[in-house]
Amino acid sequence: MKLLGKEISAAKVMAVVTDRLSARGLGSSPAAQWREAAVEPRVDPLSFNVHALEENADATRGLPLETHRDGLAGRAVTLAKRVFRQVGQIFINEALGRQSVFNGHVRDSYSQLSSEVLRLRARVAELETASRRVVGPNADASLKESVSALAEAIALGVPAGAISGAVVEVHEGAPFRSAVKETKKSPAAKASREGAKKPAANLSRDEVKKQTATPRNEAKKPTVAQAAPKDSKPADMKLAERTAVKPNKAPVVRAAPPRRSTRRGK
Amino acid sequence: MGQCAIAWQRVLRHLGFTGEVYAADVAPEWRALVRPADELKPAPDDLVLYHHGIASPLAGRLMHLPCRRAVVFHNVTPARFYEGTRLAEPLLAGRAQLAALADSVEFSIGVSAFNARELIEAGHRNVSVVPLFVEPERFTAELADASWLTRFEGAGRPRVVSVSRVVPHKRMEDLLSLHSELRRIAPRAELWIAGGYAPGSKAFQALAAKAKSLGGVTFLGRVTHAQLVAAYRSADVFVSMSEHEGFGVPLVEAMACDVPVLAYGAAAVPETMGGRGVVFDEKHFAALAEVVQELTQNADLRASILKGQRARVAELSFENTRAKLAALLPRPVSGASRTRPRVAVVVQRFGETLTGGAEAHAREVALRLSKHAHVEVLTTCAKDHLTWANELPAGEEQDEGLTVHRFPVRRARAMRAFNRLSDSLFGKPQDFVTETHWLAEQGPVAPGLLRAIAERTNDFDAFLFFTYLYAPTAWGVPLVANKALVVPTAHDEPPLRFGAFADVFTAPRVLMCNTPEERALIEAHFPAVTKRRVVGVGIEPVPGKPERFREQFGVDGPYLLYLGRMEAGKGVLELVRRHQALVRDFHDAPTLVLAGSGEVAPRGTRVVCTGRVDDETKWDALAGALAVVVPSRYESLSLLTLEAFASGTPVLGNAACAVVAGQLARSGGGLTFKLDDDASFRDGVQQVGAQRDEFGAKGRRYAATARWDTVIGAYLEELELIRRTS
Repeated sequence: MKLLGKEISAAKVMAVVTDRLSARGLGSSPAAQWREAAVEPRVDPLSFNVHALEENADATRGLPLETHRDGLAGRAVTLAKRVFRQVGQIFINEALGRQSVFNGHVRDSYSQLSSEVLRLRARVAELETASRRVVGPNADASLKESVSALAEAIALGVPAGAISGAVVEVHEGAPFRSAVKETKKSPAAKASREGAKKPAANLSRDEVKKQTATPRNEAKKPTVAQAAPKDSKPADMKLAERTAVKPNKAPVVRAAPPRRSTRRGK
Repeated sequence: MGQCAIAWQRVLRHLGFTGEVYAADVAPEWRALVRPADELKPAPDDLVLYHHGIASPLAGRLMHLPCRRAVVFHNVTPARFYEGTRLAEPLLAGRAQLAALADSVEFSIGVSAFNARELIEAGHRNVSVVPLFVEPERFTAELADASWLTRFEGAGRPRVVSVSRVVPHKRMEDLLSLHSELRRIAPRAELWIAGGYAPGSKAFQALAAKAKSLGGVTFLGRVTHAQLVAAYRSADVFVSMSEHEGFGVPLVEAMACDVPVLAYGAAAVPETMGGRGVVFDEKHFAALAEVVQELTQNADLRASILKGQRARVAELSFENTRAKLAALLPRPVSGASRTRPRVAVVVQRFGETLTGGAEAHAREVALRLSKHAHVEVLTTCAKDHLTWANELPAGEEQDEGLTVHRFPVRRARAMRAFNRLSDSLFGKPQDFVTETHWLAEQGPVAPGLLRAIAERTNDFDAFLFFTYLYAPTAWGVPLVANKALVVPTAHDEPPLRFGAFADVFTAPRVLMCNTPEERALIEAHFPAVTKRRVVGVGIEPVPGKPERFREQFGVDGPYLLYLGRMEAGKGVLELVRRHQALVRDFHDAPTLVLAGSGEVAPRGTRVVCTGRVDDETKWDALAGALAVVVPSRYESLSLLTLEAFASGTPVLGNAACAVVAGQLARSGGGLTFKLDDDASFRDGVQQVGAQRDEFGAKGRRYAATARWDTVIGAYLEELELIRRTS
């Protein structure tokens, strides 16, 4: 054991302590090097939220039984809660069925959105790297022109497919994007859509494909939110990016609980 | 976190920033001090400081607020301590929210360097450290609960105290292990654990069972501030076994109470300790028990540690936090002074028709100052000082050449609930948050008024605040302390003992006291009081016509006069009781005339209530009275006494009121009596009746010195000093 304190002579105090322990037939552990406490690792919000939604989507599954009450009353309350859950589960399922369906949709929507966010972040980072190459002393003129065109496209709000380098048509059939198109009714939105087509016209489809580093299939690769089968663990999910103290057990993705015999929301 | 938010609100006021505290869940009884987050509607230039800990819906909301944003991080307990409980997920979610906030905030503050490192780890970029602070004057021996001191007096030794909620990461089981070892070498050792706990939880029940088997362990539960001070001050050693602290306020509180601190060096603990006290890195309980013994018995070691700890408390001071926040939030410096001074008068109510000594005083000074300076009045829409209901229109209006800005009061006051709260707090030491809560309930809380003070700092050379007792003064003074003159009108009343008013008496440039007694009272309660001078008020007597008053109200024969608010607090009811006793005993007892309006309307034989009277009637009544009676116990200056003197009428004043007693002693213009003693009142009436002319003449001479030109001259002198040095 090691002691710290400006007003104490740690060695002297420890000597006194060791003597007293020895007199009692006890030993003291040797002083090790003082270690500064490590900070907790970052918890990635997107991955965490996907996990949290996954874990809690089923509204029919109860939280751990707890009570703040003392003694007999506390035990009675806990027992009552347990009995209520067992007896009433079928009714709980019935009452919360639609809530579970809704929660499932929220979870899936969030998964898709967070996947999109991750893909866009990667793309922005890529463009920033390219941009740095363009403004440097050995900038490539043709690359500069293409990146400028892409930057303009981004500024005009080209749909994500075009920004990512994948042609717009690839995603036209996707419900998420078409829904966005349909809901944009304002003149500003219309102008933006029209403007968005311009860079695509200036930049040939081949050029777009050539100058975007991310292959199409890579851009579409599932990140956090890709719909992994419910019972399997997504490969690239990470909550704690670095482990400083000891790994947290809480964020580990658990397999979905086995299906119960009673009807569930989804 | 809540305590920090309230404490930092005060610090920010000292930096010239005004603002309010919002929370996701606010109990109804706290709504005067803390507003529900739904009401948060910041302007684009506003800065929202979000105090972050466990997951909160406010974190998501913050990201979408259309204003400047910053995070104050108090740390989140690692979820591993709460695995399998409902708390694990919100703890983890709190960390996810922290990371999500990184790109949405202008800057981030860790209350310790440890927290700052976690902020950086979570992706925050512009990160600073602003430590929490503890005010040692709130932990002095005098503030300890006497009954608890007695309770602990006979306890065995060594006495170990630990202060925290009984929750897993605080490792109460380790405290019990230490206690078990300590009992081996000191069988009468005691362990006190102060802090809330859930008696129904299995974890607590297991702890309680172990504690019972060991003996000498007391779970004190939630304690009041005075009890907490008593627990600290009765202990020999403070021990912390906590395995995660983002700061560790109890460590510093224990230091402020002169208890040696022995703490496990987890997370931010070594940093908070600052090398003082004793920090250990391994829970070797037998060895720690010997260390506790050594800290208890070795007087030299103990004295040396306490000295170091005091230095650490001084480092973690209000001034330190203020300096750190000032560096983060710079303010533009004051504008240049103009030829004609510009003064803002800040007062809780303002208007010609309002009853109230301080308010009348404020109006008189404002009107007279306006002949020498540009004066604007910042006040509320309230007319009634009990409810603070918004009866007057908000906005700008003119009053005899003065520009008056009225701001709405956010919340009316419920007197019954307020009185209950006051009764529960008065006479006992309280912590800063509790006192601030009382002040918020006292009101009037007018956020617009405080905002106007902060935003118009550079428009005025000085801010003249009236009455220490109300929120506009208590919270407005720190905003413009360097330009503030305060007319405290302080009485010897329970709230004067609240440390929450310290800023009013220590921060401004000068206090303009009404009497030497008021100045002495303030000096007694606030040793660090700022510059103060006795200024008083002026009076301009008007010759009265007593017969006109007698005719108007049908008053025959000699009469005693009370003039002022008809309130129980003014002693009116006791005065009527004394008078009725006089009437019972003497057939020629004088009539009692009560002139004024208010919450009470006493009735009695030979009692005449005139209601509120105008100025002319007042002077008529004063001139004809046998004596003027001042029954109030709480007066900072009795204007009525001076007016009675000027009319040549003697005064019978409450002996318990030091101010009136002082005025009477200095002038010789009357006598004091005991408000609860019939004989004393009777003697007083008889004496002033017999020697009315002698008393009257002395009073008249004294009143001649109370001149407005002298008073206003003093105000202008102080104004000039502020202008020169601002």
